[in-house]
Amino acid sequence: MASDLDDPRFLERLKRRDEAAFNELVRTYQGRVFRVCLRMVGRRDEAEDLAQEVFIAVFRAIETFRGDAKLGTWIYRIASNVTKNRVKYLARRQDGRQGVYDDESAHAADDAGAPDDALDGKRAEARLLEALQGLDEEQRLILVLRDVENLSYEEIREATGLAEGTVKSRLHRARQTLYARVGQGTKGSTS
Amino acid sequence: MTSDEARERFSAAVEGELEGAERAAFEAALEADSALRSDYGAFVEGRRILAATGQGPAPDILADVQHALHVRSGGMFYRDRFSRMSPKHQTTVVVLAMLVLLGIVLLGAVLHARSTDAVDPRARDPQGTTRAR
Repeated sequence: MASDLDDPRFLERLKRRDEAAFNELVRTYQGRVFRVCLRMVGRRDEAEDLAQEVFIAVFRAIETFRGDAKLGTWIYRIASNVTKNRVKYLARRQDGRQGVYDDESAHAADDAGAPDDALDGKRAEARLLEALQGLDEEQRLILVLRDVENLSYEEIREATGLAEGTVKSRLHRARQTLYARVGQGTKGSTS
Repeated sequence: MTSDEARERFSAAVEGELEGAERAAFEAALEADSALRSDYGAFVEGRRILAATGQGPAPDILADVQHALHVRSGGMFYRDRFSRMSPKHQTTVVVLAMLVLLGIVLLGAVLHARSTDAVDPRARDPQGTTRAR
């Protein structure tokens, strides 16, 4: 995750609220932040809104970034806090649409024109993403950071503030819960 | 290693953290129990599918972020369209502006030279013959 964006001169530009530097930061990280948000809230419109909030929070808090961690890890930390708060808010609001995964893959299972293998793959993907929403937000976040974003344990520790042992055990529980559901679904659909 | 013990090591196995005797015992447990093998297969496949879901296109949210910052800062940031452009577009605008400026300067110089020729008779008649008449 190291890049030119970790250059001290770039960080100085960010801290001076240089708009061009911030544009570059958003362009570089928007895909990663959006993916995390989408996996956390399960809805594309909500994820886009959430990703914006993450960058606004980054813009506001950039002066507090001391450079102990990589800039990317720090952004994941902000994304983690913002998304966890939103997930809690959505749960409190009891949004009727929550849990309905509206990523393209969720609709792909209806694609009658797709070959059987591809359709099975899309169904498995949709099932997995639905099941992901069933995990508690901490487990979901750790799972996404590790298995989707490929962050190291150290980076996840920095992003979440949890001890490495806790990260490992929660990751294992999350995988067992999630991937077991995928296995059950496969057995169910093939029998 | 029992099947339950092996199940507890699924994460370590996919992370490549099992080594030596532990790795061998894990593989032996998988070999001996078809249900365990199936569960491990689902575990590996689930992880692969989840990783693959992250590869789709993401929306470009920069313009929305800029707009939100502009509004929330009371107009302090991202005041104009130039500040919202990509570096490539900013460079294009700067180059175009410089070319236009250069054109204006050149045009001004030409017009100035012509007008100087028109109002200064000495320029056309350096010997002053017109004035003598």
